[in-house]
Amino acid sequence: MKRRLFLQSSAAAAAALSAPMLYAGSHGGKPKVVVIGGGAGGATCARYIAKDSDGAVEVTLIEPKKTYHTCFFSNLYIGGFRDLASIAHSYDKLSGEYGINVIHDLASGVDSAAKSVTLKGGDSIPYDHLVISPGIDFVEGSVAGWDEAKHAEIMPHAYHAGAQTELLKKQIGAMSEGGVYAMIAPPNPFRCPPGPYERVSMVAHHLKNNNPTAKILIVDPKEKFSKQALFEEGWLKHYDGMIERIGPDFGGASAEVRPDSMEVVVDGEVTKVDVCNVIPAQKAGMIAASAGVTDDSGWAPVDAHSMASRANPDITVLGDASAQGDMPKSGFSANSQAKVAAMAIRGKLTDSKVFPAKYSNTCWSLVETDDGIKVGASYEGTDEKIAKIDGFVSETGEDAATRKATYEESIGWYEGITADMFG
Amino acid sequence: MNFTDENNGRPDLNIVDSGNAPFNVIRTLLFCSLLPLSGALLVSPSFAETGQSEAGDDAQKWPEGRAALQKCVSCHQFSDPASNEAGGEKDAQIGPNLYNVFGREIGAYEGYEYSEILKTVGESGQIWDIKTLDAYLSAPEETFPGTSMSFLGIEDDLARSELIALFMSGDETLAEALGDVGEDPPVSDEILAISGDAEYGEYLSSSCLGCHQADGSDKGLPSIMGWPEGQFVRVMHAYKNKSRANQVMQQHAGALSDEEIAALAAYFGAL
Repeated sequence: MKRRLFLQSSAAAAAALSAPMLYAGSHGGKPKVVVIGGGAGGATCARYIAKDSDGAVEVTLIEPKKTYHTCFFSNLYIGGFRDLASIAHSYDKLSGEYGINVIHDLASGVDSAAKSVTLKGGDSIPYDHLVISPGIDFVEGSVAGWDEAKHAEIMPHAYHAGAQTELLKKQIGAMSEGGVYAMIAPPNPFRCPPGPYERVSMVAHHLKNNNPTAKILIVDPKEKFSKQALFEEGWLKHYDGMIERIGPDFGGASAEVRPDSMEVVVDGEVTKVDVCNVIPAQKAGMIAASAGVTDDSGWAPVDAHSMASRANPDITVLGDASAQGDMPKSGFSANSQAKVAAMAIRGKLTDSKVFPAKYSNTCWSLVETDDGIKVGASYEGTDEKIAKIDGFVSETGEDAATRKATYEESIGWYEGITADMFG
Repeated sequence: MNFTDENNGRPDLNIVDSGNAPFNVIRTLLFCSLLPLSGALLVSPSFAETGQSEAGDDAQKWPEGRAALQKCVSCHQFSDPASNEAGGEKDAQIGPNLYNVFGREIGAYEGYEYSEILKTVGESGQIWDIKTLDAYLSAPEETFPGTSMSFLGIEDDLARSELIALFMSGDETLAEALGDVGEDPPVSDEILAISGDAEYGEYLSSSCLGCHQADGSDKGLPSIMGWPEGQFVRVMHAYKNKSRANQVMQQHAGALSDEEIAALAAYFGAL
């Protein structure tokens, strides 16, 4: 094979070539990478830098939770297909086997001039390069009547996995006979595009077996949603008559919730509900805004060749928080972006070889027992954005064996991505 | 785990029902399929209910077993070694040739480098019969710890039983089932001759490892470590040109150039 010159398409690599080892020792000693957020983006990025730099880079991972519950597969917990322990992960291997300095604290601020991260506990951590992968926060006031601080325990979002997911499952289990589960679905863009609709499927699965006269009401500000034809086909097949969806034409974009009386108001009509799952509009996790890398959209624009912030080349933004182009906000995407970023960051700090960015994503969803569906695509970095090359989606009317194989594939994927994140 | 060979090395067709579901299913299947061969008319009561096993309905026979066979052929071939060039490209597979595997001594396909455990078990005189195949295929690592077969196993009793029935069915049925599975199309000598850049392959591999296990184990998706390079290249091109069906793999392979596939083959092949 004639070795191609890969470096010309990468700005980060060009910088590395012109100024190798520029960053080593700017704080004394080895170059320091600090990663904020221990999810699919942050944990993967920290692990790959630590693993591939053979100790040449000092990696610190800041994550408040000691036990991390993946958002992906948390719907399967709601449906009773997984237990909570099966989606719980620790950082022991990242600290023990990969030598990553894992700090369980909340990153409360970034001083990009001094190149340091302030922790809630008071410490300040210097960096040569900073990776921000905080996931999402909610846009205040986006659902009338709902305030996260006041109402998340009454009307849970369950869009950060863990205690919220447990609470939602508990509420669904305690629904009165023939009661209503309502979901206020989020506007685009948001974490895990098929997520709300997989959740509806899982709630329906539970209700069908335990409370078959109960109803599901989706109040949705969007005309369309991910894998819509596949979900609607499955809902008709498995849960006929149980699920109603109100789109924007009928008031789905201007719903109001009343947590005190457990009511949902759509287009003037008041519905009394047993459970109200409010998934508000979203923005980058707040640390991204404090670091000054977000724009008016609330997300952080990045260079598609390296995932480096367009506002600050010493900061990389991964996953849900980034505004990168065509990739959906998913754990798979964040994991894929993290590996491109890890390579680019090592290139910048240690002058290692940088190859052109390649990204991919697949989102599996479970509709009913052994009825799995998927959507996916491959992507490349262009100067403008991460651009989709080619994609696929499950077909309606697929046979049972195909759907079962798709579900089984998703279980294999879960084992793979969590090993890729946590070692 | 110790298997007693009660039949002096012959296929164990008449094992006593141990209350183990898969054996019941296998027997049911066999009494149907081997009827003309064995002449043993021990029709079990449940036979009448297994409609999919009715004779004369070959295209529908053992669908779960056929689906499971798809997993085997990723790593094994089932062709008469006499028709292969010994040590040639066709024989260079990840796992041993399974031609006439039923009734064969364990760990005994000539020229394949087996794990110690399979060699030992084979040397003790054990053969691949219903019991050993059933145990091994349900949980390979638990049954023969240290086996080099990175395969999670087939949990589903019916699928496993039907697969074993296919192994037992003799050349014709198996060949027909294998015909359905299809062989990967050949790739050109030019593509096979590309020498992969393993360093580039290492970077590209990070995409594979978002789903496949880095330690080569099978936790629901096939192991992709240590394959002969030619086999890896053929399989990836089969996904790239969509003659293999999986959409996720078609998308990943489709996004890779010939050189990139060679780079991955070189990197994973050396692990």
